[in-house]
Amino acid sequence: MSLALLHLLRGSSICRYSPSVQIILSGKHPLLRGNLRVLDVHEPGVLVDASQLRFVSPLELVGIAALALDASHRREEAKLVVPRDIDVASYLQRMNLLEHAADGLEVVGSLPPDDRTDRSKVLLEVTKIQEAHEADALAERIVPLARGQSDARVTNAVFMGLGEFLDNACSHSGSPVGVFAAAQAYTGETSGRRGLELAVADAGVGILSHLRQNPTYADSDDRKRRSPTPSGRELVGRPIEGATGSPMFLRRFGRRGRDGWSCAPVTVSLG
Amino acid sequence: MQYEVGRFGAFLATRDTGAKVREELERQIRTIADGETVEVSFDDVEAVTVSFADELVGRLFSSHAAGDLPEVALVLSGLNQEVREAVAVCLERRGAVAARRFRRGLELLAADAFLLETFERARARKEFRASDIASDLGISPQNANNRLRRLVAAGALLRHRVAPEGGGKEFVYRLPR
Repeated sequence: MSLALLHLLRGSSICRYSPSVQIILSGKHPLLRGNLRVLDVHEPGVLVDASQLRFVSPLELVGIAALALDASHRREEAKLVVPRDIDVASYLQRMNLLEHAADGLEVVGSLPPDDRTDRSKVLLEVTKIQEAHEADALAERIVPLARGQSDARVTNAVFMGLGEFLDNACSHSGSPVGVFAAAQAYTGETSGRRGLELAVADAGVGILSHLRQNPTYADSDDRKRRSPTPSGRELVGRPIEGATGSPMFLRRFGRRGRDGWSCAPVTVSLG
Repeated sequence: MQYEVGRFGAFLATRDTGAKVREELERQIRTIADGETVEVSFDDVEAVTVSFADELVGRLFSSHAAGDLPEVALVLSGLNQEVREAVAVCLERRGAVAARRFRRGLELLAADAFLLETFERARARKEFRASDIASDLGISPQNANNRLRRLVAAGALLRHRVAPEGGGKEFVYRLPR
């Protein structure tokens, strides 16, 4: 289960991943805003109802991809009801979500034609990696997006952050379906704020479960996870000598996020 | 010997890649003799994650300090600001020290004040004995020996043994080339 979805499900009536669940994504940025409804249903499988989505971000994309393939891996049905908004449906398609989820996802609803141009300077389409060595190439793909919005120092810091998240996910998550990443650069023409959003999701054990493998944190709950320490070392399930990468990245940008340092999505505002 | 990390890419992210680079570098170091200088160049490397830096630099310098590698000088070069910061973080976490080459010569990364002042004297003298450093800094010969031993373990200094007139053993220290 992707980290972001797991965290949000925790606040719902379903405290852990259920094989019979309907997830309703609606409005704008539902995962970033914590605005999703989760219903326990009788029909087996997972249904993601995105019909009322009005704006989707990389976080929703990688979350859906990880969820769908995780369900498929568990031999459960996974369905996606496509957004009614044609632009949003087109974006899902453009970002290769449906291509990745094809093996595990039944698409309900009609899709617009896939007519795409090269947007490699603003989009990093949903990309799946299975091995740590693939993470280097994927992390490097974020460079043109960041360079288009900011200077070399910020670009390098963005690369470092994504690289750490990907390396961590590949090395520690134990995800049987790989790790998914996506990114979008915002020029600010619409919102007035330039920025870059990165998202990484996997269907692994989750940071909390991994943390509990370390006897020191065997009884950890989310309240402890909310307290980032200067050293990432204390927050890794299996002690990794020298582990400091993610906290250094977030410290540099002066942002902790709503849920502490361990949030999968990172938004960098470039002013 | 010069080793180019940039051959592996301008952006280096994972521990996996860091390990591959380090293993190749260590294989090459094991083919050279004590007393040589190995320059690990980060020219053409624009950014590395702390995880990569720790797997390559952190573990390399830890191995050298533990005596697992020949007694060579290890000097980092070509570090831009981001790479230097990532390297400094991993050295500090491991309690390790490294020498970096830059325009004005050599400097230490992640060193405490005692090692910094010792290295400054070493830079001024170029070739010296422990007694020289002890005299310069007003410290005991034993203290000077301890500091110089740490700098040799960090690959920041080289040494060779000489036979002093009164017998016994003594080292002459020098900076890496």
